[in-house]
Amino acid sequence: MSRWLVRPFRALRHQTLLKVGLVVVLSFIAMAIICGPTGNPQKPYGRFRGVPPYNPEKGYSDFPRLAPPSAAHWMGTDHLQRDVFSRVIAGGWAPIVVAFASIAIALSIGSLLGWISGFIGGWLDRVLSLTMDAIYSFPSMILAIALVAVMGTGIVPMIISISFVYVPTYFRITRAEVLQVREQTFVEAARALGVPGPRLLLRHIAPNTVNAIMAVSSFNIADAILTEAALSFLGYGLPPPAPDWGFDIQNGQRFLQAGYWWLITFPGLMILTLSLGFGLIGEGISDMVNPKRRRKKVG
Amino acid sequence: MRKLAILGFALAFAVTGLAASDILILGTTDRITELSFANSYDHFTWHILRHTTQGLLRLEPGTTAIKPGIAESWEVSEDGLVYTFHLRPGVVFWDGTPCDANSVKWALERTLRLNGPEGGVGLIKPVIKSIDVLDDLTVQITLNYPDRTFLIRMTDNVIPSLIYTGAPENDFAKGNYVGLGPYRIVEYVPDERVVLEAVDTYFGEPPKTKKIVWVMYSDAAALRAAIEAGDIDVAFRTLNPIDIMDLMNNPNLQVIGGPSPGIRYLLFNVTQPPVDNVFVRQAIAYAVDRDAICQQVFSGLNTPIYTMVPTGLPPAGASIDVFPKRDLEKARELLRLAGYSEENPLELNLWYTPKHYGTTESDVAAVIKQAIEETGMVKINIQSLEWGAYTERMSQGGFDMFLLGWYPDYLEASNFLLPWTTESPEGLGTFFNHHPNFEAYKDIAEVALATVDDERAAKLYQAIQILSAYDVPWIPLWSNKQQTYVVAQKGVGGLVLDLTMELHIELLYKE
Amino acid sequence: MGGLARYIVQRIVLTIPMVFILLSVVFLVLRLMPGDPVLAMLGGRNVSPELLEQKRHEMGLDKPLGVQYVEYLSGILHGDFGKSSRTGKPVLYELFSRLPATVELAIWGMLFAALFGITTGILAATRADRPIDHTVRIFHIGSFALPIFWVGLMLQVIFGVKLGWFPVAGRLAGRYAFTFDRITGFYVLDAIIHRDGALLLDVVKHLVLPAVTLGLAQAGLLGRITRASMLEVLDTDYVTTARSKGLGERIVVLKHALRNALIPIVTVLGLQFAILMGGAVLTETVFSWPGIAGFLIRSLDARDWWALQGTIAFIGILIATINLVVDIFYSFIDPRVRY
Repeated sequence: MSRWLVRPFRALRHQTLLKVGLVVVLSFIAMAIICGPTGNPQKPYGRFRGVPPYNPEKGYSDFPRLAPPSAAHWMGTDHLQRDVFSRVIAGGWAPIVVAFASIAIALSIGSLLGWISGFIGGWLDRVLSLTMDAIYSFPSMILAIALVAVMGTGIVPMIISISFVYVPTYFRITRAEVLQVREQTFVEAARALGVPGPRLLLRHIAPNTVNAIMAVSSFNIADAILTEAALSFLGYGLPPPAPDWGFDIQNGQRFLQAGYWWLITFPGLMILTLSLGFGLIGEGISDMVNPKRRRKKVG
Repeated sequence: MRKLAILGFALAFAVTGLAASDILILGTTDRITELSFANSYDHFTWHILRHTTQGLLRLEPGTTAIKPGIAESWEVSEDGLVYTFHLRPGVVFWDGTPCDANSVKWALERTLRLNGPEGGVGLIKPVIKSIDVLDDLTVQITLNYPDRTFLIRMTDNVIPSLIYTGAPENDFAKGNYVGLGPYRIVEYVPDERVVLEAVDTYFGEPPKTKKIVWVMYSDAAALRAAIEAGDIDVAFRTLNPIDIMDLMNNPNLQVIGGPSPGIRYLLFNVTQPPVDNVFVRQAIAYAVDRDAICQQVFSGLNTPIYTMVPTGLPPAGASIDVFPKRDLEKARELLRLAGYSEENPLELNLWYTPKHYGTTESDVAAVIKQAIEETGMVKINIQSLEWGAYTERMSQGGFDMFLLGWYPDYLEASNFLLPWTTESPEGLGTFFNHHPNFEAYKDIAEVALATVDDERAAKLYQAIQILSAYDVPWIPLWSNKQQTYVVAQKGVGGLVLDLTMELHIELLYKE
Repeated sequence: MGGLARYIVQRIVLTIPMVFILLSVVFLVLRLMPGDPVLAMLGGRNVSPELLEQKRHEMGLDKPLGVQYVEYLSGILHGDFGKSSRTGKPVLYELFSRLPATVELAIWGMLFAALFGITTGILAATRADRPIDHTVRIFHIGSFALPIFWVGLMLQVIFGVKLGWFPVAGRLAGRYAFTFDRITGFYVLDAIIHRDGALLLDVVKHLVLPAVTLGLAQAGLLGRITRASMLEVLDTDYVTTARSKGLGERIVVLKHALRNALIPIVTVLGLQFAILMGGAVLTETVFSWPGIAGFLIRSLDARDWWALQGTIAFIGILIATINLVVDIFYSFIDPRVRY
């Protein structure tokens, strides 16, 4: 196991980026849990009184329409007389859920395939590698959009399509690590001693790939948040009137030229900050794992 | 730099050899679907077809009175079943082919025969029994039943009754046709532009502007930017309401709204539970909040309506407000009658299509959802489909409650009552032909259509509206003023707006 | 050069199965996804089986999968990407008529990214660990988190609506749309060929915001790579020697260091095309840009099945080709490449 997993706190002390990233991400997750949907028809959003201040789905007839940010409405109101601040803080759960779920799925499937492919080798490895390379070289955004379009709108199609485009990433990392470790003498020795293949995989190979995967996952979650926002911006996200940053930006686009800037500014800042948070975590982890690394954005 | 710009301008026009007033550039967010007389049914495609060829009759811009088209005059038999049209001599298509009685017969019969699934041939097909050529310039059309709207249906407002030649015998025209003008299509690039040029063979008054360029913008925002920047002379269909309001303050532009027979409404598939229950439909009619829709979504640009028939449409007095004002208590009462309660709420889908009616549609759905859910006894799931899939599913009966819009195919009250009840209840998703009162609607409609006297016909149309407020196959919501708005540069003239909701491009000019 | 030639042949030979697999993946994915494409086209549940069958037949989806697959592949081999049901024209025709718009946007986006990225990268590297370095690095990290569509809209708000400097939509003012004779389809080039200053100005004005939007995220990546490789190069004996010869710092940095640092930058620039295409979808949507990506979105909206499949396959082939060209080009400029 690597040093930073053993002594996480000491590592943290030297990692400003990681610390900032963690604070951002944890507060967004807390916000999503506190302000997200409850399933309770009496109070559909938020677990505490007054949070979010208003029902984000509801227009209030006594609110001003399209009012700029003020003390009463921190981020202004929209054309349906809804409180933008309430929508913004309640709208975080969809991107977070989608990003985490899709990366978790991609990680499991991709790593599993990578292990198998690298360990077994032969024609299976060649075909799988070529397939994964082909998917990897394709623009992930376009692939995700096409998949969602085929499957329909909503949260599950978004998760499936985003996880699909990240499978090759984990496949490649895991496979490369497996190939590298396979050549090492202790594995050769273990094999010679008759240790069964799967056990060998788990005991000796798996732990070494964890570091690389951790760092890449953070970057990928950061990217998946942008993808989710883009899908929902294009209208493939949650059905209205559910708050969802990407969709709210699409909606606010209509009012852009009349000068109502606050409708798109705030949801966009939230996407930016959340994605940045995960990006910083990724930076921090990579710095610890490999101080002289080069980052490739996963396309 | 400015000098350079002016130079460039001069150069651009010198190259084309046209004076500035010979060209008008118009912008829209509409698209052409298919340039076929028998297989298209949308505003912009019809706009193009209508301005590239003529019908037997036409509607006079501004007054919407029936005027001679290819036919100079006409007679109707005593029983109202035989119409004889006398054609204008010397009319030629733009390729020089003369347009005689045989051309009229061929074009009409071809359209009726092809009757495409996406088309509006149903507007004339049921009524026409036969088309006969009496001599070179005389056509006789025999009807299946007397129809007071027949002449209106034969105007250029109704695309299937247009006359053309040169189209494939057994396939949809898809742009392959030779028309009578005033314009012809010289270039069509999907999603980008369609260029129209005046033809010199046109028999009517030559159009004011020789060349019309329609630039197709991808969205309302782009359209607004274009008119504001002076890129286009006229913006028509469809700007965002907020932008229309905003542009009224722009001193360089004129913003004009016309009368609107365009309506928006909710429809029910009356065979689909839970909305097969009349109490449920009535409850929703009491619960919807038209004012909220008009004020919030449309910035006050559109106005609520309480019946399907727009005011101002012939026959006079046909329109009567029959639907109730909002009353939540009444709605709750009806829901209780239908067996629902706070603990056992009614679950219902609300379908909309996200782009066809502009990007405001998701907001409309959200506002309707909130208004109905305010009863505390309904849970609404909003669902959406792109337009193609939407109409397909609608005609398969796949919707329970859904949003739709209407602009008239022909300017008469029956066009706002019969399509959903008697003419094509399945195609339009109401499946009203399975409703117990279907026969009653049909009988009244038949009598009304055969009634020549306007006042009596108006009364019969009123009867249908009164019945509809009880059966609630539809809930009229608002009058779509938004789509009548034309925004033009200050120098543009000839902007005549009338109940056809049409931009009469042949009248437009720029100083 | 025998080795180089062999490498190029090898690289081409390797690209063919890759493209083949990509096409197969597109085919399979679009058919084996949990959502039935026909059902999705018709909108989910509650559709009569007869209609489903009829639609399936129309789209040729009722044939055995193997037959469909062979027809699809042989079609593409013959340059037949199917026919768009929305426009009625061959998909390939639609794509080629829109390709110049996308390529032009991509080129200018890339150019902006290179210019901005390399400049900031050099700035940061030459002032390592000073405030300006930190500022630039924060931007570089932050650029990865920028939602492209939002950046486009914010630029529209600021530079289009509030300041009124640039148009927010399209490639060309409407007044040129019909007089303009498209020679190459690349409007900047066309305007220059026409020697039309006003037209050129208009075209460039339309390009600025979309190109910046598309380039901004790439600029961050390029900046990072520039900074890293500059730091590396500035540390080498070679640069130290140049410095000790008494050459000015500017010359050392720009002439000696940058030239060596450029190799990894150029590579990344080429390989970024895939990411750029992804960004182009959103940029083209936000700026109403009439390119391939915009066509893809419109095809999606219209459920234009063949256009969707054809466009994705086309983009796949395009990217594989570009990657191939970049690789070969790279093998020429960098003698260190292994072949």
